[in-house]
Amino acid sequence: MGRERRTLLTLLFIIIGMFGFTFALVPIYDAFCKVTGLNGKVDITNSGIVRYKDPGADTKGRSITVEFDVNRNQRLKCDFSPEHPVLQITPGKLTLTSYYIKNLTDKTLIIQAIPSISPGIAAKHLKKLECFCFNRQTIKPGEALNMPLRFWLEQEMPEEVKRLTLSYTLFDMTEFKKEKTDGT
Amino acid sequence: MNSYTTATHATTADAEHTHAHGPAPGLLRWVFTTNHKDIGTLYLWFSFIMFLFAGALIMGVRAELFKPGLQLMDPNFFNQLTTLHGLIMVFGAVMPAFVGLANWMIPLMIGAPDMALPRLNNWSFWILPFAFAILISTLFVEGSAPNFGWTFYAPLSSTYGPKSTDFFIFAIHLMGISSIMGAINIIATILNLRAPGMTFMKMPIFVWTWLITAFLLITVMPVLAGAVTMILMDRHFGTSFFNAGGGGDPVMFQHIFWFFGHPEVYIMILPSFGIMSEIIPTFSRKHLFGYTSMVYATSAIALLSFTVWAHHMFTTGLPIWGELYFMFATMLIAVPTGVKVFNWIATMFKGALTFETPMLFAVAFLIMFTIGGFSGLMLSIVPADYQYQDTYFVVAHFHYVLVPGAIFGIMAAVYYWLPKWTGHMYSETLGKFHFWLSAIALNVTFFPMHFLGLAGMPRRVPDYALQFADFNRIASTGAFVFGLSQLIFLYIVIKTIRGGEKATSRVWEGSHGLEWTIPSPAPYHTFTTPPQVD
Repeated sequence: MGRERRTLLTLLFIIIGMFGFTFALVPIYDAFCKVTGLNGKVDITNSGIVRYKDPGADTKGRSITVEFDVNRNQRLKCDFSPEHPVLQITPGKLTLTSYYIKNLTDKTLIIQAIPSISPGIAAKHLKKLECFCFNRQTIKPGEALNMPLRFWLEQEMPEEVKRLTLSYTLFDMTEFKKEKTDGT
Repeated sequence: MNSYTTATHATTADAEHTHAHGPAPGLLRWVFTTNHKDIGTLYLWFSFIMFLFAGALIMGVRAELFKPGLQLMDPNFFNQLTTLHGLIMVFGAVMPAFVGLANWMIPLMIGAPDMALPRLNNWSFWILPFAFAILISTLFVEGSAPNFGWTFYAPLSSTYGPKSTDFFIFAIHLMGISSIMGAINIIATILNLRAPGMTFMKMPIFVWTWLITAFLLITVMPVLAGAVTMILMDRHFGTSFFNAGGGGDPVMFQHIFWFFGHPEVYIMILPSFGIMSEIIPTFSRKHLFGYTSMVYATSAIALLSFTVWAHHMFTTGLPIWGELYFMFATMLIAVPTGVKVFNWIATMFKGALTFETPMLFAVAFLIMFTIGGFSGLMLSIVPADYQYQDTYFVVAHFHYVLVPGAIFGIMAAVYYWLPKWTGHMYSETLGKFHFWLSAIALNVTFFPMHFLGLAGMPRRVPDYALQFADFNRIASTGAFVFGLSQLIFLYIVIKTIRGGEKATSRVWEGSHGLEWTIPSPAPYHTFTTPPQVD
């Protein structure tokens, strides 16, 4: 019976370990995406850490076309549009643009904008100083806002990236009351 | 390979004691039984019922697809049918059938008196009827049954899942617990209860493939359990594993799911490989060619299966180096699989072949599984996959590996061992009739799907463009014939249980292995004294 018990304990250990490993995959996946810029995911939590330094005239004469794209999820009833659909941007230069949003419902909405960048390799070279996506936004019934976005493209942006798309998807987080919302 | 000396006195002793230690009378025998043969029978019948049920569901789908337009059902019900068909076929038909075969055959093949953990064995079976009762009940509750496909991608199952998704999650948890317990039992049996002299490299290949499959099961079933748990938490506990709005990522669901899902497809085929490696030598009257390479090839397939999951996700925006890696890793699996196919053909080469029903199924397996393997290779080519992704080509591919692969493997095994289980020979004429009808209908059903997919017909649609009408009509006709021909199989099995020509203990002229040294039908208790293996 001793041998059988040992087999059993080893197997139970593997099973519990694999169940735990599944949940460990979540932070592993996030870390992997952050390091590789895979999935076009931009870190939206590090707003305080980014430091912008004006490179002066050292711009190599490059200009990158940036398209601003918007989506609304869960049939969210609001107007959402970028100030400019397309901008020509010189890497290294700080750019300020904004997004217009209007709540078309008679309820207060809590929304979260999630950015995604295509091609994915460009994601880690797009840096934001200020973004409405850093926090959840509370919008009163009928309220209209211009939400700022201040960003720059790093000069390390790969040469082959001539055109990139910054896309925001709006998620309705009104039901998610558990976490604190920050409308400031 | 190796030869066996039958422990004759043990067999005689069995015969003497059969009376005293036979099965308990009455129907409750089946509820309380801890006998590996009883539990194997329960598993096999259960999987057969589920096979017919899930098959009936897909008859509805094929009827709807018989001609363009919506005629029989609304699209949401169509989606419920495809979802439940997939889930029940995978978890209710194929997997329990293999566990049933393992229960019946592994103790007989390694000379063990029973499974190592008989009570656990009873429990792992009896969870299943409840799990599937819960899953199937979703068809009858208010609202919709699960309608997101058997892959239950988030957010279809999290944000947008119907209320019955929670039933589905609980049912998956139960099925997972059952599979894990079954796998623990099989590993414990194989590692600890082999007859004296049966070293690892003397084990029959079926036992080897099941040992490896069981390790795959205990490694990936917890991952599936984790995935459904995360969906449950996203639905009810305010987490955001897969909700992008809360910082999660729906693509991560696909990574987790396919990290389970790819080893899962090998769980559904490796035991079939083992069955083929038993049947082909018997009817070729030769020993298996390349036993050692078979063992290593099976292990290699199992290990590689953990490294290729993202080939299901080429179009989700993987970086180019990721696509290249997963493409080449996937193609690499063709190497050990090729070794196995080569070995089976080499076993038949210059053998004294006869084509009884099990052998017919085995040869059909060999040919059609290889077709499915080749379409899998086509799918692994990244640029081509952009065309094939989510079309009927994928449906054709995985049905070619699952129907002539897993299902034909199970049917071959049933015909091969049925005389040992029942003590009667099945009707060879009816068996061959069942085989030819199934084999032809199967190709009529699934071969046109290749063309449909290449022409651009998407999966999981209840309606389609007019140019797909002809091939769909052919496929539906084939599906109806295939479905009905399984009733012949049911008839053959019942007829064989009730009577027929007496089977000898050897059953087949070319058979070798411990299971053929005991009488047919196999006594209720076997190998109470372990046989000696040289």
